[in-house]
Amino acid sequence: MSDSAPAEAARVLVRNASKWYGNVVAVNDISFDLAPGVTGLLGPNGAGKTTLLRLVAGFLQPSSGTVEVNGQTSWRNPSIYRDVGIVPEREELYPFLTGREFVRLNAVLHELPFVDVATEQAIEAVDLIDRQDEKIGTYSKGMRQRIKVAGALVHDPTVLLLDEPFNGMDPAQRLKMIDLLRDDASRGRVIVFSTHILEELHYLAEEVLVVVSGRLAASGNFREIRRLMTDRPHTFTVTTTDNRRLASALIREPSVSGVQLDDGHMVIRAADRGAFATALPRVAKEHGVGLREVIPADESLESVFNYLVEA
Amino acid sequence: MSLRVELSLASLTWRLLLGRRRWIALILCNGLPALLAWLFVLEQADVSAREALNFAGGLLASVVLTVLLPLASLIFGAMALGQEIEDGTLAYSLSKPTARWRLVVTKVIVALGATLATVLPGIWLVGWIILGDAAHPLIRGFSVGVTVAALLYCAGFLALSLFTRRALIIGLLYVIGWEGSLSRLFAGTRTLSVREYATSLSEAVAGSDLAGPFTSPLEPWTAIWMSVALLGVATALAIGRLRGLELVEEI
Repeated sequence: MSDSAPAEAARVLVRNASKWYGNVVAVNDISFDLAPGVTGLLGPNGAGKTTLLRLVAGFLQPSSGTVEVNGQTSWRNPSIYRDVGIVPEREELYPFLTGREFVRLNAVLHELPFVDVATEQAIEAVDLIDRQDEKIGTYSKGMRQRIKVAGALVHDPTVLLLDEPFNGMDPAQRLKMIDLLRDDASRGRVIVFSTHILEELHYLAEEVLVVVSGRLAASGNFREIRRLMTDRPHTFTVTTTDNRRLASALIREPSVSGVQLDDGHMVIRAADRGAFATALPRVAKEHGVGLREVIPADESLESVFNYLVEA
Repeated sequence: MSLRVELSLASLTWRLLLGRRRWIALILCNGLPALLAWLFVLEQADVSAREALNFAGGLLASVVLTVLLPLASLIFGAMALGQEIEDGTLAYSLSKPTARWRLVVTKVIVALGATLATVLPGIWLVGWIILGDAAHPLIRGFSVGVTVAALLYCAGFLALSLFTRRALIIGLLYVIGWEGSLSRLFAGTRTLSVREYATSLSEAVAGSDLAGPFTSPLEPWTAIWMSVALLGVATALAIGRLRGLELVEEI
């Protein structure tokens, strides 16, 4: 791995890609365009995340549509792997190799000029120097994940694809891996990782691709996605100097679809987010109520995901 | 072109094929013909040179050429790539810019090496125990025939493993059904039998007067051309298939 940023901006372009097996549609007409940064591929188990990653990785032929990595078709094109690092979901590795031998093997197969230096840097990046000479068969699940990441990073790829990379890692390892991936993304890499665990995504990626039943349910910044979902009421937790008085005034506002008084605060459901944003301070001022705290309650990733899955 | 990639792949494949104590099977396979040869020598102390030659030839033809060689080739040929396909680790080899033909050729050569390691020492031991010379012309001829057959079997079974996950079963049916019986029943099918190529080449190298049980109606040149054609077809099929191999997860 080198510290220099890639010369050209990395890019992953998927256009109307579908993948089906007989009558089973695994990925259905998905399009997206990814620039450098971290993108989370989110969806429930069996949604098509792995199939989508495999299409991007060139491991599967699209039934229709196109998949390009850095301007090159990924299917039947081994030359893309000079720019792509892949961390498969499956846990199986070569148990008879040491961690160092595995990463070195990856470096050799990439025909790197300085195999030993690249190997050491990659192992150091995943914090496995102390255990590098132990057989992979003795590694814990989290260590296997980390050595897989080292193998994928050893040739300094501009695109990194990770399928459920945090499986088996303890919290400290996760945080280290998140830091590593964030750092990589800041240096111009396209990083795509799949997960069905919202918390992982929350810490690492602002950009999301939400896949549900093989379809792209949403893509982009997850807070923006929530704001654009105008057919769903937005929920705010509001604390004021007089909750009861403001609640009775707000309920008459057309932008408000419901108000619930709770312990020390109120929960307001707004049918129109923009109109509510102007109505709230106006109504509060008219009734002499001071606003202490206004918190969007459903812009969390979890609520966005639940909306999309339920839709 | 550096051979570093091929050597690393070869080392990995060798450890895959002969790991998990499979080397024990390797010793047993080599030991079986040697044990039979030793029993023959113990039982038949005063035999003529011709009788010893005939026994050695018969032993090698029936035990090595008919049973051990095709089975070893089947296991190593089908597993050289098939095992990695099965457990998903092939993704680590395929996610590299290495040309697919380099992968296939390397895997075939390693499977060939493992197969020969399983049968050749046993053949030489038979020569040494019965004929008193591990480099006897009969043994040399048989070694050549076995090497060619091992190469063809390994290339064929490796290609088969890329088309089906049941390569071991289909390969076994082929070994028993085709090589073991059908190809010997009808003269016309002999030009499509690897066993016949091996027999023909063994006879040609050893010499007809020494060959004994190694007699084949197939002309050596026919065996050579058919071997080259079969090797070419099997390798081309494997390379083409690997280029378009989809790594499909269960969905």
